[in-house]
Amino acid sequence: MNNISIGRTKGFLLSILILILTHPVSAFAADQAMLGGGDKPWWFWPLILFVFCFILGILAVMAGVGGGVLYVPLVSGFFPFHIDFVRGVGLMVALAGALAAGPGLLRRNLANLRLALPVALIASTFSILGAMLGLYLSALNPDIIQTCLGATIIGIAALLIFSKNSEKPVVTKQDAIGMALGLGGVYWDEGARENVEWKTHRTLLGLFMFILIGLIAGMFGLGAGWANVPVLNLLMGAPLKVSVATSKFLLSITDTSAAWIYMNRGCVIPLIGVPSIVGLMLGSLVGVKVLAIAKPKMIRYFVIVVLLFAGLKAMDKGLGLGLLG
Amino acid sequence: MSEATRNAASRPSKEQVIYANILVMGVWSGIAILFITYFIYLSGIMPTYVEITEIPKLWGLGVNEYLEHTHSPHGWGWVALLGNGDFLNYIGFALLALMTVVCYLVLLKGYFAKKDWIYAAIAVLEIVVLSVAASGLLGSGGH
Amino acid sequence: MTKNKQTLLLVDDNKTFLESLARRAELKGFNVLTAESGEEALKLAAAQHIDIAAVDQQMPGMEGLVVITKLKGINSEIKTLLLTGHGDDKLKEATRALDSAYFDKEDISGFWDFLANLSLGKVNILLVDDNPKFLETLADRIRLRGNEPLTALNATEAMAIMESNRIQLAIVDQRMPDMEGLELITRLKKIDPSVKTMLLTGHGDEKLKEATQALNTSYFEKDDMGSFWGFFRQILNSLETSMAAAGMAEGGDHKDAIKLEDPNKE
Repeated sequence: MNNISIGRTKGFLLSILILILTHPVSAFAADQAMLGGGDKPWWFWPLILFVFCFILGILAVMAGVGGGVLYVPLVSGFFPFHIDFVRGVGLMVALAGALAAGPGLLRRNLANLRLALPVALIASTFSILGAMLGLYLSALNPDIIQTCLGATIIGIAALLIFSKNSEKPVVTKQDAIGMALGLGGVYWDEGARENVEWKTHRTLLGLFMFILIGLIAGMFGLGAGWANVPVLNLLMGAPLKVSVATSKFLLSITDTSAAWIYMNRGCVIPLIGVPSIVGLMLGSLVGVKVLAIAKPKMIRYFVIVVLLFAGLKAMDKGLGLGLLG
Repeated sequence: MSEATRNAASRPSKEQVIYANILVMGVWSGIAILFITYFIYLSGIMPTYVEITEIPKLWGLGVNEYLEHTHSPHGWGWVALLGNGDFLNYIGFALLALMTVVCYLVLLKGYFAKKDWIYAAIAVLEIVVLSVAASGLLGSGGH
Repeated sequence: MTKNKQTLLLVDDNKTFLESLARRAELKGFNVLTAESGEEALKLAAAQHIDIAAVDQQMPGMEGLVVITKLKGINSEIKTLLLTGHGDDKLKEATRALDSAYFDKEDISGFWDFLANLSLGKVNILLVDDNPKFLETLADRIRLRGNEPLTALNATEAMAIMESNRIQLAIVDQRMPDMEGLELITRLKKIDPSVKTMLLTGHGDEKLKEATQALNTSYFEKDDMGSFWGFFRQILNSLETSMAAAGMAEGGDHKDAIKLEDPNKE
């Protein structure tokens, strides 16, 4: 019985995916993208965008990939909006999702404030610089941003395929900075029915990595969960649960600063922004419900492949090769 | 490990709970405001600053050209144009983007009370960074 | 939103049960203390202020009812709740006869649900209070949750309604001109023994408070109603949980995401 329902959900989701990605709308969207929206009425694209983001929200949750990181490459690939607006709205989308997740994570003490605060300060400072740099470069020539975005997205796809997070990393000795900041804690492991104590190591290197993460997040308007989690988990040695929750909470701070830069520049067009935020949020609410019933592993690989394709497409567009149409 | 330690470990701090309480109200009010103002915008009850039918012709342009064509403001200029349906939506965006600063004030108070000066300093710096970003002093020129 | 956190003391000799209850209560925003025995509970109560105590009846050493009595000796303001083990029918009967909300340990979810989440969908609710203003406020709150309650301004009217309608829940004010609330509840139960009832008392009605508390029943003060009828809070809570779960899922931690979204799923 259960198997049947899982199979059915899988099949259902895959058919939706294939429907979107192979033919009608997206191929059409790609054609229209060149024409800046063509002769469609004004409500056409916002409506399609809403539906698109809704499905994106479901997939993001099922695949374990942030909605913010999928939004920018896919929307800039398939919709007629300029990369400036896609990044601005993408940041608002990631921000809204992170803010909405925050209260639940804090209340359950899953997100760790001691870990989040120093890291957030670094990442949010550099995401401002990233945002300014990104806007400067795209004013110079949007192709530069397209190409770099494409390369980054391909890198992210590779990271998602190859990095294997560790549920309870072993940290034998905490370093001085980690100790001074008191980075560590205890959480109750329901499965093992025991308290798990954790602490961090390689703190300085970890903090340094957040300079890069902040820059990239700001420059491309991407959510940065894909980078936060491996750095917190694999590099600094925080448990997966803590890393994931803290990463999501971090985004609410990092993306705030970058979002303000884009918003103040006028990159958040309400006509595009609202359906994106609401669509993605509704999608992730539905995604969580579906997840409780079935979690097909296939979806993750499928999403990563789509991401890879979007990255190649962005590079292709940026370099003007025209290989992918 | 004793019962007491476990409880202490699994329990969020007072500031954390206040943070969560403020945030949850702020986020969902923000989303609700976005939702409502969007329909006010689309319904055409209020005048729009940029003609809605014009936008599809312009969203393929870079932001600087877009602003030039539409004579839209940057920075906090939208506040003066709240009488327009399109800029009305900015209330929701701004609310979302201001939540973190508000919540950090709560954290700051807690760290002061605990005399945790390192974290108090981090919180102060973060508030400064976010406020500078929000102020529009940085990078809202550029054309 | 809650102004001050209420301190809730949970007393039970079953550690697992105690922990799971404590965790849920914390999520509900209570400040939770736990004790594994009556003695420990009394020590805690002597050391600090406690608003509500939920006590298990069957414990080695001191019995729950005794603990409650002693807790009241320490602080007469304390609200108490007795939790009974399975099939303790005698006790169940006793509480039920006294027409008050009753919570079985087996059905601890009902404990919360009764307060905050009465499945109001198709339930017929009767509200009885001689104060029309209060009655309307209460009715409005219930309407917010999609249920149309029946209202009565006095006991006679209430009984007439009870005769001609299938009522599942009656919420009754204690002080009414024609009949006392407790008396009305007894009569309503005669009409339909399966009706669930809830007694509301005015402020500072100490005697009645004592009476209800001694009978190990939950007790609601009119002024506290707001916290129990947090309709929006309910929605916010579930949105909050789901979005936290979505956040965990998007970060690649599906295990914890599912646990957050559906804690009952192993």
